[in-house]
Amino acid sequence: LVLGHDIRAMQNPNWKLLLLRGTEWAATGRATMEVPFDISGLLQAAAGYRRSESREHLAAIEQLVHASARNPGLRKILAQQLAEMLESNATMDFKKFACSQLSLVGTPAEVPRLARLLGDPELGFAARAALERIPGEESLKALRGAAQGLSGLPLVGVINSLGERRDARAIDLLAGYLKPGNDPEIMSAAVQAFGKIGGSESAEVLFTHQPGMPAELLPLFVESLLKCAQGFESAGQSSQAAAIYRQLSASTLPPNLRTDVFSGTLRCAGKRSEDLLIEALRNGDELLQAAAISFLRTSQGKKFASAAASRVASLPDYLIAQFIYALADLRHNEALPEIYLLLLSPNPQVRLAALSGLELLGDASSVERLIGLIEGASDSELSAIRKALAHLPGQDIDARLIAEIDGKYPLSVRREMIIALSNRDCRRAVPALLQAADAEESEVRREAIKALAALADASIAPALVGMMSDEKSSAERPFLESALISIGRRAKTLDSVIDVVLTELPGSAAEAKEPLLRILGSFGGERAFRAVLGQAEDANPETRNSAIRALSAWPDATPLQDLLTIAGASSDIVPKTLALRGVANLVAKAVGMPGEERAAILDQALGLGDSAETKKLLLSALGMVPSRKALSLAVSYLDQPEIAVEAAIAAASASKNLFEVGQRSSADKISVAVITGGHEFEQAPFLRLFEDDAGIEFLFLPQADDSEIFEDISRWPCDVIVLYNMTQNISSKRRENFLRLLHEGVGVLALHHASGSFQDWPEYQKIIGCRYFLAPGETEGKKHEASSFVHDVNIAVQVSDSMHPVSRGLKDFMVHDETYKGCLFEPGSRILLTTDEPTSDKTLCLVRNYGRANVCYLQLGHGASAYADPNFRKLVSQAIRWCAEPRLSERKAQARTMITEK
Amino acid sequence: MKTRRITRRDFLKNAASTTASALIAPWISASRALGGPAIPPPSDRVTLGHIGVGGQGTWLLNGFLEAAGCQSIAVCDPFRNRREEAAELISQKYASLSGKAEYRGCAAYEDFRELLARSDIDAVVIATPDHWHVPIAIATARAGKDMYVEKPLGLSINENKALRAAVERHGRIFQYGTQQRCFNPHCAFACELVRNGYLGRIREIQVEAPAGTSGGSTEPAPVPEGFNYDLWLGPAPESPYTLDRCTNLGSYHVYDNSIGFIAGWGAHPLDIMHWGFPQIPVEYEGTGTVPLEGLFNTITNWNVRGRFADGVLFTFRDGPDKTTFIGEEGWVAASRAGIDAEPKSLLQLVIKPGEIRLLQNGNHYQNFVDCVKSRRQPASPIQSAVQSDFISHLSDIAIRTGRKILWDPVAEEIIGDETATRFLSRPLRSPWRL
Repeated sequence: LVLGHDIRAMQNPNWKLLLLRGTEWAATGRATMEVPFDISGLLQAAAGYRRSESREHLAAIEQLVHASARNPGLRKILAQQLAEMLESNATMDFKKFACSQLSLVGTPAEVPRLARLLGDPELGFAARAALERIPGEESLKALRGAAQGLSGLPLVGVINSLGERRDARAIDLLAGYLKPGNDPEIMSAAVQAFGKIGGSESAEVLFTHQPGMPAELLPLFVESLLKCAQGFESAGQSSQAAAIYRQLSASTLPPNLRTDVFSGTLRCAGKRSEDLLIEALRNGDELLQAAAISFLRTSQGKKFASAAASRVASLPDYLIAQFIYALADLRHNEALPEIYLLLLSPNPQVRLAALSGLELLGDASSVERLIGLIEGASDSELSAIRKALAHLPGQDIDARLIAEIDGKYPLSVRREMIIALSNRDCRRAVPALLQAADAEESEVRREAIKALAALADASIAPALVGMMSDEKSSAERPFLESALISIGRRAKTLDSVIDVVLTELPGSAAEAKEPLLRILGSFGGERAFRAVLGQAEDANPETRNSAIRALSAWPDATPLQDLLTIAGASSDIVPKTLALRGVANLVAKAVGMPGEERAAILDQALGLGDSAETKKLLLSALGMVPSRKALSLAVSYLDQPEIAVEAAIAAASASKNLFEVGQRSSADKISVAVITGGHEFEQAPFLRLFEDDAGIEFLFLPQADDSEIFEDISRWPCDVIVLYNMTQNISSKRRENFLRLLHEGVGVLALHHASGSFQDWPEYQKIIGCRYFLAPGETEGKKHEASSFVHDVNIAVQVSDSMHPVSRGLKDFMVHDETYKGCLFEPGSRILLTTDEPTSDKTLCLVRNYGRANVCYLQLGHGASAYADPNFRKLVSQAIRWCAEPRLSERKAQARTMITEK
Repeated sequence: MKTRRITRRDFLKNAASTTASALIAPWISASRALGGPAIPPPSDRVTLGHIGVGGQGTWLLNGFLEAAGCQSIAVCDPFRNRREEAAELISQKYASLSGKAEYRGCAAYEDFRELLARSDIDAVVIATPDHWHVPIAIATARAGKDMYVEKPLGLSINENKALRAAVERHGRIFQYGTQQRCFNPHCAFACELVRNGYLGRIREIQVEAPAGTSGGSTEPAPVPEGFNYDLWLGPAPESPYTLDRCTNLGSYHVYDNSIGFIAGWGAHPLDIMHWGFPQIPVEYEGTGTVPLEGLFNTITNWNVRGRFADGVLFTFRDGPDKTTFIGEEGWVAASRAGIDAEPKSLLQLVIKPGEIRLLQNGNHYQNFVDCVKSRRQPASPIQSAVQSDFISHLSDIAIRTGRKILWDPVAEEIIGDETATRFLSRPLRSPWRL
């Protein structure tokens, strides 16, 4: 038995059962033992449960409840003891839970205890819910009995439960609530209960009380009778249902209910259904006509579709449209002649419905009519014609379309026929389409080539390649190119198309070479690569540049080094730029190449790049590379103003990639997560603080004000979190994850404006020891003003504690920085730096512990002057090392264990 | 936006007699219900009310504002700020469309019953917390209006059955919020491959949906000003308000209001499964995790195995959103994000004339509006919505009981397990009922 690590697992009744039966089986070869459940002990342990506490005990009880389903003895004891708890000193929360469990295992024996609670303001609903679920007459009897002593909402609830249980014995009781003058809420509950109980007795009671029924209850009254009738219909008792519908028809009803009653009447009218239907379509108002059309969609109504079709002309247009849709959905092919007539309706909605109807009902005879409507069709009609031509079933339709491609029809019609053949996946149309691809009219040629792209195989590649050199098809070259690419990709091997292209390439004119090179570029492969690389040295600059473009779009990274070589050797700006852009593109495809190697290639390319635009592209590619070198390289470009933004994005992107793979390059270095966002800062000098520190490796992780870095910490790679953010949002899950990291020993160095983060998270100030108030408010019962700040202050910093590892070696110093005043400092911190500067709080640096984490808050660090200050740099460096100590110690211990094991 | 508060008593008094003139008149009187049938003529616009305009509800509202042939004229939410922001969104949209500085044609209600009492509204969009989906949808059907209902469907199997009966009884158009049926044509294509036999006989269907979450504060907190918490709770058991209870995460993961992502997310891939293979399993057996700490107490992780009546195997577990149909001649996997298949040639197939086609429209909202006019069944109708949601519930029941659950798909009952059968219903807090 693998399970059973701790006491929690051992308390699980299933675990106990396994243990006992396993032991018994090992000893005797049989497994018969039952678990000696300590039910009362478990219930007592859970009796003090409150919602804010762990549900561990409740879960154990739930397991017992479910285990008891196959164990009558256990169920009896469990249900009995749960019911007894209802009269104990257990908490309300536990009693509600006990009711919920009794709703699953309760028996008639527990009913009296539950019934006694029905009037209880706190437990009444939980008790009723349990009784509603306990089957049998006892629970119903209890509900009926309780009803007589209840009023208001508890009574409404009991009536609802009797309705849900379809308690026919409650009919007399419920009828009493329908007396005129009763509370409408209670009356409405009773009316609806009758609908659920159903049957002739319920219907009779409802009709008996109809005269005294308040008008406002009419919809519910009709609804309940409809339910009674529906019950009869389901039981095959149409005549009884019809009687209800007949009686309701005599009443004045709201429009929607009148429709429902008429629909029911039609369903239950038997032989009279057809007459009623036709009469409604001929002389009924629109309400009844609409109901009649809906009736056609039912199993009883569909047989009258033919009879109804002859009445369609008399309907209003919108109902004609609904009628056609109904016939189409019924696949009522006999309606085709009527639908053809409606294609000529002056109403566009009717025409559109008729076209949609043809899509489902049409046959070969429909093709001519559809074709005849193409010219002059609106966009929506054309779309419907296109769908109908695409979906009409039958080989004869394909043959008809093929025969007419180059026939008598206008261009727009021929074009639609070609589209239809393509949509119909009609492979046998390829020869005709190939002919059409050489037609005189450009529109026809273009559409035919597009269709060939979808339908043809590689056998037509020579013909298509040949057309590329044909002056007549010069405007169609992009379409020919797409077609060849599609055909090649669909073929078993690309060679069939590559061979054709390679044969054609040497003799082609420069303008025809360009698409051929692109085709090769999109296919890739060794032979194509050699051919395109050869063209990159062509004397014709257009051909040369086309070849470089083709190499740049290669499907894999094969041309990467060659493009770098071309860029290095080119004195001409155009091929050089094209090649460098190709490098940027292909680096992302070099998936098998180590990140450091890809970063090195981009380093070279950045060195060759002349324009800011090209460098931006290369930096963008750099950001995709999960590599330390990529991160360092991106940081090195931060101080070039024209590309600083892209460099920062690249640094963040590279960091994110590294973070997601959870990779650290060296176990000896301290791994630091530098979290920013929500406050501007000078990125280049700030990140240099970390870049210049040889003992650490860092990730630059700007947040979009949502603390997204804490969403998934399963691969968390860092020893220290440097908070330099002032973001505010952090979800419950992310808070939990943040705290979990601290409990795992990940240290926190919060710098400067990080004390203004997470204003709505009280625990945060307990973590870092300080809170900058962005607005006046109240914290822990004390009112406070907003904190304040002053820029550009020469601060005299006193080292009040030089014994701590963070401040060791420092002496009092001056620094040019921003001051904060009016912050809240949590007790329990060790103060390292202070100042007497009047615009500042006294404390400038503190250290504390949270969970297993070492935490340091350093109020200095607003801008470049602070970043450059040697004392500030020393503080940051020493703070990172101190914050990392718990994790470093753990790593060392693990290393020792591994050595020992070895 | 000025609104009138009415009590349930007022509602009962007025429900049958309310006319458009007694309430706020719409910009365009679109519905013929004002003087004729409840079904609007095709040339008119379908008038919409939006019930629940939080995150998802506002997303849907934006979608319907872009759809043709409809007009949103009312919103409803127990959060005052949400309904006022939604009404403002509508007003700005129509002001911009009409080229006017302002537009005053959208009413904002706290109580859905006020919105449903308006006879000039043809259809409603329901995007409330899960526990309200079915009670409001049934009231909508009773009021003679069509409905677009967010997934998942009901809080119990019996709720689903009651809604289906109401939709059928009143002949209403119902669109389920499983948007992949329109917005992701590759899902339709995957199901068409299955339905047209391109995979051969189906052997197994594997379904995965993202896991739920634990956590949530249990500390009681003051109910925010402008929020009718009692109405938000509605038929759910009374519970103290806490910070996380009425958030998106809270309403998805508290068992009083939902059964968790096994339905909330499971609805999507299970819907694809039912679209491609229109049956539901008849056996369910599985394990899952229910958090023991924090507010959230629905199943977060699950692993369910089952079988269809004809022996096809079924698995349903947490993971990326995906439905994989495995047949004797290949497999296809579809999710809202994409499609894959083996052999790859399956992906190149074109559905032939005469074969089953499932895609109705590339826009789920437009599909609903069009069907309200044409009275055709929309892409995601009530019948399949009920069945796919049954699978979530039966999986949940199998995990909670720890037993194999046998399902009779004709009688729609659990076979031979009286205790598990009790899970099929959820009593509602008074005065609410189905």
